[in-house]
Amino acid sequence: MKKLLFAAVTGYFALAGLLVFGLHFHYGVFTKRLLQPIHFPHATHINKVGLACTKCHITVTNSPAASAPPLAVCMECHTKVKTESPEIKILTEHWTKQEPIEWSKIHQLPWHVRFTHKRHIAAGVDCTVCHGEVNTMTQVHQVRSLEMGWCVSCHRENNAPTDCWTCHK
Amino acid sequence: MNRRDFFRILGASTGAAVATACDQKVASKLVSQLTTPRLLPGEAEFVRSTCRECSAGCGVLAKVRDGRPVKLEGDPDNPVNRGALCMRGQAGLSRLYHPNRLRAPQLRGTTGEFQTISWDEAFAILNGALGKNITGRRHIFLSERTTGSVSGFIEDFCQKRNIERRPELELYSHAALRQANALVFGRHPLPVYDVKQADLLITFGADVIETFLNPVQFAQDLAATKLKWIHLEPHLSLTGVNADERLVVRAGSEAWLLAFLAGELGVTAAQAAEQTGLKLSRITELAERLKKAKNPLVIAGGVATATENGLLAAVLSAVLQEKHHAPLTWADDDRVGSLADVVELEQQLADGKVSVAFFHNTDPVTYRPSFGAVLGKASFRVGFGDMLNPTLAGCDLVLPLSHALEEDGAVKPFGDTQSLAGILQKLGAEARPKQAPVIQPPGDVRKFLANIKPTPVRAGRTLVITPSIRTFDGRGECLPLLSEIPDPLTTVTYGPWVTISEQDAETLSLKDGGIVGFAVGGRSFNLPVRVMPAQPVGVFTVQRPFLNGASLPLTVTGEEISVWPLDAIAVPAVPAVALPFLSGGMHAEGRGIVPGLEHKHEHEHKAEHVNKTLYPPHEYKNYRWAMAIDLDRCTGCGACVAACYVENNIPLVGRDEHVAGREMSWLRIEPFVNDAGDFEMLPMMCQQCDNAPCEPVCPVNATYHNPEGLNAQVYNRCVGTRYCSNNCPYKVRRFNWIDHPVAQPLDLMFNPDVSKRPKGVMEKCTFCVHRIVRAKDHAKDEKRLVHDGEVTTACAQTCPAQAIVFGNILDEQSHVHQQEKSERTYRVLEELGVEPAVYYLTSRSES
Repeated sequence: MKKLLFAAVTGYFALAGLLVFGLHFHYGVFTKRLLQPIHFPHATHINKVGLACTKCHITVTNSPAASAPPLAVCMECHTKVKTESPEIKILTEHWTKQEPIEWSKIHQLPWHVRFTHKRHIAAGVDCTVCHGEVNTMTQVHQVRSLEMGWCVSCHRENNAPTDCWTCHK
Repeated sequence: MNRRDFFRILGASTGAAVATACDQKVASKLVSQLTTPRLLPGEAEFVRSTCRECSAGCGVLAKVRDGRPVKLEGDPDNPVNRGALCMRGQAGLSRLYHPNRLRAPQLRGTTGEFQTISWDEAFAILNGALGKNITGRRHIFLSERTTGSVSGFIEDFCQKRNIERRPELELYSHAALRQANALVFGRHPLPVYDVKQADLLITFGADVIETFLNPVQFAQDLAATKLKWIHLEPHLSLTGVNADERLVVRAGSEAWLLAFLAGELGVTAAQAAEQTGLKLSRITELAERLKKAKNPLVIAGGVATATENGLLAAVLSAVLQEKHHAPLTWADDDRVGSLADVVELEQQLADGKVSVAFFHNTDPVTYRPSFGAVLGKASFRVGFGDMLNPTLAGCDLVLPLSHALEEDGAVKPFGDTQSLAGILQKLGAEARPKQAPVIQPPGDVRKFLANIKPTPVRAGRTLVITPSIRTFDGRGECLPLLSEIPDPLTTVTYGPWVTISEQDAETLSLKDGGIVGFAVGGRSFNLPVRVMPAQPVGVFTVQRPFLNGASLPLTVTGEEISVWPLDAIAVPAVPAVALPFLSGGMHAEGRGIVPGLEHKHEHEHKAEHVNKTLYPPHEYKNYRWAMAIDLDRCTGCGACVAACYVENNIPLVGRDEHVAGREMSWLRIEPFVNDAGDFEMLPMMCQQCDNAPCEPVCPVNATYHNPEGLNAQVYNRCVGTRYCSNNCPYKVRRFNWIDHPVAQPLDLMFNPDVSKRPKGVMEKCTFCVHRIVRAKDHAKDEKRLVHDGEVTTACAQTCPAQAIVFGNILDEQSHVHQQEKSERTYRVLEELGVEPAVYYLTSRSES
């Protein structure tokens, strides 16, 4: 009886541990990928159409934030391209109603971080270094931890400033 | 393992699993705008506006981030304040986000409670009320001081709707000055004194760097000129301690001295000496200096013109100004009356002669409680304002006004508010062209002076009632930041209090916080005392907003008498209260925190006492940020303190925390007094030391020396041991003992460039590092270093006296580098060898 109880407890812990690890690493898989209001395939836009990241993320080279593209940018093509697709219909509806789209933010930094895209782009850091192979993703998910140790290792390798106040605000 | 243990472990591990699973970031939103926004993300735009925290009307630029103003700065193009802004102006932004702001029209229902109605209903009710004509009754409109287009709309509205426009109400109307100027110069508006052109300035009672006319402009001009400035006052004021010479005269005696100086009314030097209490030699010397000066300027105002002799003092100062061709220009014409007009209106109300009464941003009930008793006799009462005050609370219909910033499209409005001009337009008013200033022929000064005699001054204890540098006439009382910042001289934060002299404190056996009782204006008050060195004996000073609820008697010009005999003073047998003041002691105890003559030798021989160290000095590559503060310019007005609070999201902690010594200000003004009673005001913030004592004691390296010389503090690394604070000789580190929640929607005022610090974390001045980062980013785009003057801290930016210089001390062309090389330069507690990066320049008179 005692052995059985011990096995049950161990099993319980193993399961709980697996659950915790699973949630921790794959939480995004279950939630974030499905949360976007429009199923926007980055892969199609980058690989098939051949758009550069900066074509839509227009503020990434000159401001701290890459920002989600204004709908006017989408509508440059989508007044003609694939207008019958159900997803594009959602977009067109937003545009005709003049309602902004609220995307779920995938890459988030903590409250105390001062980050600027501009300086990283100016230093020649490719988007994929932090965002992964977005050109292969149908829905964007986070591939890097974006934790401090990861940031600092890159800063060290590339002789970028490692003063805390560079990033901590 | 028994059953209990099993469940215990089961519970704990399940809890841990749930906790870990919850440790996911809350998904925030990334919004796709419709079209390309005007501004890049994180970029600020500046919106022009006018400050109305006092009647000076300084120009402000609101820094707007994502449609929300986060900070006010002085407008450099505005001639009134030329880029600077005082404490009140800095705090004024919180009026926009004030939780008590009215958000929709309110109508008093049958139960007496206010009910929210729509604007259409409000306009219908208004038009209905205005349409009713009752014989023997008139509509009236009472407003605060208005100028320009708003004044034009009110004028047009009043004429079209047959409304009597009452003289506008300002508690500090300077009615005596206006009457004197009409008599001597033929001008009704207030003058603008150009002190830059004068070589001798004598001010009687006018608190020129606190509240008088344009205090920011006075502070700027006085700092920029080398004129001799003599200030005469019955009490102790910040203006007085900043003058080159401060002479204490008996309250109400100013007219006697002015008469002697002007050679009028046959007043002799001996009479003037007897009345003022000054030495005869002092008075003859003053007359001599006035005679010798090429461009002397004599200004009477403030407490000197609000006494029985006030009008005479104002006329005599105007006579002296005319005689010496004083440099005067005139402010815009306005319609400001005096409290005598309010008394007249009160009578009209009491007699049942008022039909619809309009009150715009004004509060006669607070100044005269008897007004509140007759307010109900008007047929219908309409109030315009941003928050309820006692007058608006007594109205039937209250219409919420928008903030001046909301009238520009760049700022998202709060609630359903409208501008006064917009409301009046909907009621049929139209814009009017600006009216030419009224210039009348001057009156007969000779006749006036022939028929007047100054009243002799009464001996004995006196109560002197002054405006407040923090809340002006009380309009700033609703802004929480202004109670959090200390009154500069007394360092009291949360009032009320009465300032008394050390000798009076001894006679009455009172200490700080002891209660003193007196009656004034038909009300009795029991207020705690603050004992101040250099306060004249027998003089009790109280700020006007602390006497709300009293009806003070008026002078002949209709101003409140600000000097009151205190014969019946009582010390009630009640326990003393804990008065929150921040200065531990005003005597430097010979430490030379502000060096006097006795420290001159030490200062000159500091090279002989070089501090030895085993460590190599810090090496800086491009930047070493440093600050220089010129104490000769600094007036201690506290504008920098307010700017720092707003810029850096510093929490407001309230009275109890202050009493416990847990104030959070990153920058404070320390008043120091010497044995002669001379004050020095010392701005004190983190000194960003080279050998900072705070750094090596941090067990987690949360504070460290940054490559540009700053003592950085990393908030999310800090574990709150407070060792750094204990090791700081300047006591500039602040600890978050508790979380300080902010009332909604005041949280929208937070500067997004600066973290909000949680409980258990140490914080302090950062030299506005977020501004440095921004400037460096900009410079890097252009592949150069930051220019001198390209980056400045919030405190230096707002300083009316331009006392603070910030920059890169490695740049030999920089202003801060040149200041550091000045002969007057010293550093506070330099002998400790901590090598601070804040350089102070002593006052010229002391070096």
